[in-house]
Amino acid sequence: MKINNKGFMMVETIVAISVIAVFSISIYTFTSSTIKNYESKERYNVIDDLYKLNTVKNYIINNNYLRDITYSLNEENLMVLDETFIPAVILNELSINKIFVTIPTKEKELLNQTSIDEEFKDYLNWQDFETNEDSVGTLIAEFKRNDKYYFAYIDLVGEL
Amino acid sequence: MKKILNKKGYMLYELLISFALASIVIINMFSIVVSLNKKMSQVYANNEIYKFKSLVYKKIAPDFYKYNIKNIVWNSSNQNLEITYDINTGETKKLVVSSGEKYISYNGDKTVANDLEIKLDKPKVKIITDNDTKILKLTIPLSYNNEQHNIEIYSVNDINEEITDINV
Repeated sequence: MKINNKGFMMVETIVAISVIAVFSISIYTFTSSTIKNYESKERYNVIDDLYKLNTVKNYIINNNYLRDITYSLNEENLMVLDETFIPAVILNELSINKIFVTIPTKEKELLNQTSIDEEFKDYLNWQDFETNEDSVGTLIAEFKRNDKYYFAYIDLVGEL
Repeated sequence: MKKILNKKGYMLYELLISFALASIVIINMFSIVVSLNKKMSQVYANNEIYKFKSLVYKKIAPDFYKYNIKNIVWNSSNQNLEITYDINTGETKKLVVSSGEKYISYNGDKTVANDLEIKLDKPKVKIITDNDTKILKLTIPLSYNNEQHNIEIYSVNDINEEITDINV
């Protein structure tokens, strides 16, 4: 019986499989990070969240809190607006988890703060903040829906 | 006997392995195409609904935030919710959300939901109170491809005592 001995060598097979494996892993890593990025961007600056944040802005302006906020911002870069400024009923109704005010143009400096969680840092890193000249602060809200975090920002503009 | 058959064919196991590999690749590619198609139609639906929402928000939000609401009336005959604003100069402006004729109109400027195959259901008004805080929430229920995408807009201005919840 004549046997065909023209097969592949073990080394050739291993090299070929390794090349294919490296190639597949790199494609998987690239696509999964792209999909993850795309999904997280879908949760930034959603139109409904922007209008909800506008409601908070109107509440701050109507209740003349702008001066207090500006005064507090002179002492620290980041201010968390708690129930002394925004009643819990409004925050709950708007599904706002946390609400922050920062000094305009200094938003990126917040990345150095250790007290900020990773989700918020990702948003700060990604967002290109465009601030109005008349802005006294940047209002950033963290929304929580279905165990996912959403972020949006608007300028805090108004007469002091 | 003269050799007439070509024996350079494939063996059965070679064919089986090739078919198995090819079917694995085809099944995977098919599922990718199906999921991409699903994602595409979802993105298209989201675009349509966000386009409509942007139009409505842009039209109604600035005055909804700015002016006090004078009264809100539910007209059951034509299924219209009519919101009248008190403009400082003494004149009034009217927002109409018609679930009967599927449109939203502000001061006569109409945006028709049906044009974009968006379903518009009966709007709701809710007064939320807590101690001294009182806010008014207007919900305009919208759906596209059986997915709910409501417009929710809030007024934190002074609210007329006569205005009550509307949920029909």
